[in-house]
Amino acid sequence: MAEHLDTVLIGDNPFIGVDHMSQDRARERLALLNSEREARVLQTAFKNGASGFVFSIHPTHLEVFRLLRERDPDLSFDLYPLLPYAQGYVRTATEKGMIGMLYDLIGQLSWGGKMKALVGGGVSALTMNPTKMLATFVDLEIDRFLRVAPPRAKLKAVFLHEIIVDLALAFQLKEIFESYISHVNDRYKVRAGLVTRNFPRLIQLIDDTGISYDKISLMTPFNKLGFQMNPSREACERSLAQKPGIDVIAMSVLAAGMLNLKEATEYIHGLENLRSVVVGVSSEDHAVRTFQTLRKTSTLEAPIPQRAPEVLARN
Amino acid sequence: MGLLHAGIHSALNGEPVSVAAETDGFLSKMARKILPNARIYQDYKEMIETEHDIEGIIVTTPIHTHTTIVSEILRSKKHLGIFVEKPLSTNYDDARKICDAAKGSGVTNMVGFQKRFAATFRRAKDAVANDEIGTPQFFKSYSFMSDIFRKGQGWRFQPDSGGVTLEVGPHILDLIIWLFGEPTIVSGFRKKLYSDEVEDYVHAAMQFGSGLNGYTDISWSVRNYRLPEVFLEVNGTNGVLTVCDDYVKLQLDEDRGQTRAGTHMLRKPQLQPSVPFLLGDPEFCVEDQAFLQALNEKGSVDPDFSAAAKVNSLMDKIRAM
Repeated sequence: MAEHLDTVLIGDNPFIGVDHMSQDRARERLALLNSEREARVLQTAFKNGASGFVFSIHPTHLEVFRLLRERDPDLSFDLYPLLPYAQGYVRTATEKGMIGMLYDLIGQLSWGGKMKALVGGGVSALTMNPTKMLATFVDLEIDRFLRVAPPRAKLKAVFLHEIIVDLALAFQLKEIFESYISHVNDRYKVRAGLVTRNFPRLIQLIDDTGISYDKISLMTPFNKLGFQMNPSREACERSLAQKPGIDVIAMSVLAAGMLNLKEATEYIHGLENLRSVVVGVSSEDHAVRTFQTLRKTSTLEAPIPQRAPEVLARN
Repeated sequence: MGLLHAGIHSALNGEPVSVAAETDGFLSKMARKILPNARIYQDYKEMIETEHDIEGIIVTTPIHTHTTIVSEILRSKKHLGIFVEKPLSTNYDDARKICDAAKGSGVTNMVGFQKRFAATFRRAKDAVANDEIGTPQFFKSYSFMSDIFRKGQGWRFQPDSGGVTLEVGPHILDLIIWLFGEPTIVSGFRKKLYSDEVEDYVHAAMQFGSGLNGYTDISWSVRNYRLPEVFLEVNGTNGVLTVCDDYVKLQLDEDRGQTRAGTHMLRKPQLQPSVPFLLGDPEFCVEDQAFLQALNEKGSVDPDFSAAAKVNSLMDKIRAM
């Protein structure tokens, strides 16, 4: 049983309009949000127990990072980028085609980034090597965000979105996993992150491949309702219990807002080998309540709302 | 969509997809790199002629190619089960030809209207079928997304193969037919907002033989719809049914069957079960399981080509407005 949570992270879902319970609610929250407010929510979260930020490679965050850099240059927190921001690419590709989308992406890079893209991307395309193409893509995206992040923000892991992870898992593309993990480990000297909604299958593939758990972090849903836990809540709990020392960050702990913080925390405490969670909040008030409570995990001393509809779980 | 269905089938079958066709040279070379053990064809006709051991085929190509490809499969390999991504075709005449070709072949056929497999819409179907809201009187509905805010390029923006009715309309129109049957009268208007040659917005009013009336709005140019959304609200003689991807709400005047009078709000996290493999939304896996089961039993599955042709018929009426 986890007595304490080592790592409590703030996720970005409310900031980019993601809400797995209600799109109406996502729209309402988004209408109230702007870069200024997001920056204030992040500052509040970090002052109240959150140690890092899990964020999609979404253009909104570039402006927020610039604001934090200007206003609070001593702000220290960990960065957990999550890529790709698939929705953005799908929309741009629909509107402009694949080539137009690539021009858009390259246009946002530094000169150094552009050169890397041309050389790395060119070589990848010539050799038709998907693993090299993925590595080039990761570097391009990370480059944009590291350039504007506050000086004391530290890269902690680089997560690959479940849209890639679960697709590669379905096709059993072990080489993609091995290549991605070694690229992130070697280039950035941090853990390679994998997000999945099929946790037991991913564990099985990692075991079959012989990848060391020391090199990776996994992010996957854990909640009392079993929401988005596949093939079942029980199977996910079993897989977690069999892996002492594994670095798992639980997401969807509030089951998209169906659970209150007390229920969510009690369940998380009951899970062996789980020591990290990520939750999204949309206001400073909720940031205070949520992160203070999660930091006092073993005692649950903080006042706990009966229901926390404002608190949105990371997807 | 091809990758999504191929991924789910690979996971459900326990082994990666073994045969695929991709006409684009770059993508087919990439597919060979990613799936070294699969046989990748650049010509689907060659694949159909050459491969003798496959039992089913998934067609997830641009809409305007469906008729040619499905007709070719039915002509040369009548035993193959066929799954086609929605809509079945660009028009009713072509959809009818596909239905005629499939008729009597006994081949398992299905069209990808996956909303029918989503927990909220299934509960809504039960509510209507079990008379929980009484006799439906009128409804309002929409299918919105935030994709097009400037002139686009490609087949989605050409009059014969694209437009918002074909691209965004199929799900809500299929749900309307699934719940209430085919409308007898359709009227309304279509509007170009950003595109030169196709409609970006549609308002279609419908009348049904039962006396039911309703309307739907369809657009890909509505702001703040990060994901495509389908919404339907039905007034009945015993209450109101509201359903979308996120929830199903029943407001009943009187008890009906097991459902008590009052408001019942059921949200997706409460309704949606876990699935063997999640890729995209859970309904895709449930849908692919239904197709696989029908294929194994050599049986039929709903929605089949005939059900999908009704959607094409309704889309023709809307596109003629």
